[in-house]
Amino acid sequence: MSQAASAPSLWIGSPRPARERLSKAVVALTRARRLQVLVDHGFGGLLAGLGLATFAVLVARLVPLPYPPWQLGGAAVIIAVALALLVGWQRRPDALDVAIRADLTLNLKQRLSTAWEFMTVHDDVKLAERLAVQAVKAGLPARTGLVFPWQVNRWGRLSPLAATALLLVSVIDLNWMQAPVPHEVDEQVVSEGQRLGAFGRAMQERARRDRLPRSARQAAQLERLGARMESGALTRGDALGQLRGMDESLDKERMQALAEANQTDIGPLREESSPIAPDLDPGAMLERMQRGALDSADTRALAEHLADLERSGIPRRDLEDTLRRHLSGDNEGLREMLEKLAQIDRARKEGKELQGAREQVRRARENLGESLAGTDGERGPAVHMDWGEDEDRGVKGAANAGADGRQERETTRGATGSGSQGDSSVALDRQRAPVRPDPGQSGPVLKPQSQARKGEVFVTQAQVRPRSGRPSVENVVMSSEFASQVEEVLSKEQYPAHYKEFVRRYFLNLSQGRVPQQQPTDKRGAQ
Amino acid sequence: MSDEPSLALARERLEALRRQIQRRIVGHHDLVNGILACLLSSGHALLEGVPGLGKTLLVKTLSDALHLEFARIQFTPDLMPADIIGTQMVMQDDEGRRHFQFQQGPVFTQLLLADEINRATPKTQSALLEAMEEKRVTVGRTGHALQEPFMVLATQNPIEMEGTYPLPEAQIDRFLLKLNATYPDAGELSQIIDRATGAPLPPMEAVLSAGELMEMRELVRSVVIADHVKDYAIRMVLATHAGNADATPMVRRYVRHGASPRGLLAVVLTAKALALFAGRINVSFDDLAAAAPPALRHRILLNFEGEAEGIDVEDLIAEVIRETPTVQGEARA
Repeated sequence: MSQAASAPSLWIGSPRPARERLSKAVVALTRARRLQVLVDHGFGGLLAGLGLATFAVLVARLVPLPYPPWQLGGAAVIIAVALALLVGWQRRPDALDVAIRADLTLNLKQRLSTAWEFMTVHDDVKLAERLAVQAVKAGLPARTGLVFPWQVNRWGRLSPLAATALLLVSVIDLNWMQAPVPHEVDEQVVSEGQRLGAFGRAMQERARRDRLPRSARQAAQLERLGARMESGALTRGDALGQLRGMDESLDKERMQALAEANQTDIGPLREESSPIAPDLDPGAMLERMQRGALDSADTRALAEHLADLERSGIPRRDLEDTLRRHLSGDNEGLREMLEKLAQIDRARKEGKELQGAREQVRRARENLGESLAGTDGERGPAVHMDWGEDEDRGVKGAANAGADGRQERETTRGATGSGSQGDSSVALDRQRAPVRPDPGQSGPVLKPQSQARKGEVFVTQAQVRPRSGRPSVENVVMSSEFASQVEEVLSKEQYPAHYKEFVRRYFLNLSQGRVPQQQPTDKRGAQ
Repeated sequence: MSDEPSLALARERLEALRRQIQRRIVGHHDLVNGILACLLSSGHALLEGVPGLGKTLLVKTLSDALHLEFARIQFTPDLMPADIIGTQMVMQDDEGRRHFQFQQGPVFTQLLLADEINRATPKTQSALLEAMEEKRVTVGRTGHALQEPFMVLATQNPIEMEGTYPLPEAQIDRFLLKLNATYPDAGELSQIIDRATGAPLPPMEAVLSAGELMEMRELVRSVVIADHVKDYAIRMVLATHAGNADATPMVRRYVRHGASPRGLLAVVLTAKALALFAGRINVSFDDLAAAAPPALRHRILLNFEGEAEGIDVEDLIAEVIRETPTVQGEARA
């Protein structure tokens, strides 16, 4: 030992017994190895996390998910690294294994491990001491970190590649990956896509004009969805899935807009979708006031609409007082009041726009065969599919009396041509008087079937309420004799829906040897 | 247990012996190392190489450098067992009475050179079996012990196989190591010319007595081997068996019989000797890896496919060494 005592190492330089010194040395090496294992696992976890994050971001960008891609990616990395560190922490290296690794790393020719084994297993301390001294002479260093250094392992070296992949997946255009599997184009989906796209464009224009950021964002999304549907890239099932997501998104945005408006100290909104007062634009007034261009006509308009403003939650006395102070030169009160009114007005407009968009989406869902009866009736307007009620269309459009509503209907019609079943005005009207299926009055359950072209047969089921003076539609199974020709003709031409039914019935009767006498209802033709 | 002074003394003696051998033998370092390992491990060595590489000269040089009795047997097809172990001869004493007396053969020596051992018949080759394994010979009903230390150094020629008798497996397994004599390089050849055609070399000096050799043999056996190193040796030898789970792909395909337990002992003993050469008192993975080729190459039998494809056993052993993990799941570098 005296020979070795001069050598600087973790083994030499202590007067303690050989057993204790060797134990101390191996424990120090074990600690260093454990840290090294931890770092190795950390790199492994980082690589796995980046890989998972890449996948998560890819999925989040391809499939609409309720979480933003960066959140998913970040969570994947954090979870993977944490798990890897946990596994690494639990993998406690064995002291003998550490000694063997130290031997191999430092080329100690198994001196240290043999010393450890002979001390711990065979209790031969003398031999262990001799071997340990030889190990020290052979190059066992004092700093255990040199034996098991922290280093970037192969997983760590691959991590930059994974990070690059994650970056690329986050920024590159993935539309090429969303190319649809070739499938038969669903004309109904295309038609609804056209309608929604047109509506989205019109809504965007209005939102830009009225400075409605929420509506503008949602309108852009709606337009994109419409474009995808119109392109034929989506199957009916895919389109319905996207429409459901859009519906939820619109509803959420609308509720948030209204909630923001309710946060003002004026009071809760009473009429969500109606303006504060006709011909009164608080936003424009506020702008004019900020420019110093508020004139007596504006104050007069405010004074004339005191009752309307009071309905919005502002006490008449406060309004009168504010106007008086404005006339005496104190504009601060009026400015604050106009700001609040402008905020409420904007929220109401947002709510109205978003509600209108939502109705369009729900209508599209219905037209694509999804039954919405009983869904979401408490928050939004309940839209009920009711075939044969189309004569109400346009008549009750007065509910959307504003110019925006008219423009919307015109745009929609222009985009879809004939054949659409109702519009937002109808839906709004039904919101006020929701039609509930009445078991006592319900008519026969219809399951019209048709084979328009080769492929799947879509079976649609609807419940028709009986109405006086209107024949109920019977269960119709079209003969296959003329089916293909009929559907070919119908698909090439633009017919209203009820006319299509009429034509089908005509050819059905022909195939059964009867001459049809029934004519389409006159009101339908009026459209 | 060996202490530091005895360890140093042993190394000193070995170096002296090595120097003596190198006075006459050029190159052949591995061969010399192998023979010395065999000498210290109480084993026998089979030297294989083409004629003219100095195998016989090496053995004669070794005998000159040791204070040991030396005998040489030139194996030929007509050599009989009695020519090796001796025979009972009828002797007549002064009174005219005749009696049988055992006349010792050349096997009664300490260092035996069995030159071109594969030229004798298997019956004659087998005469060495008992002597090599048990260090004794039995003639009739009488056993005769051989002197210690006893070591057989046999040579054989891998070419000119016509008229030869390859050693049977039982015989070849008795050799601790099979050492290959390789062809010298240009520098060594130049030195060989100088030594062989120049002035006569001074006579060899015996530097190691039988007693000292026996002490060194004890020292070799005192070298320790840890359990995990032992485990590595076991796994390595088991990996030469085609049916073993750790067998390498080449072994699975080309090996008929793997190394015997005697092969494992040969590996460990040789590794202990190599550790002593390096001044260590413990066996390392590297010692085992270095000991494996000479200890296993004559103990692994190829199957028909291996023979037909001309598979080299050296490649098999190299693969086994490479693929056998030293530490859980990690292969040797």
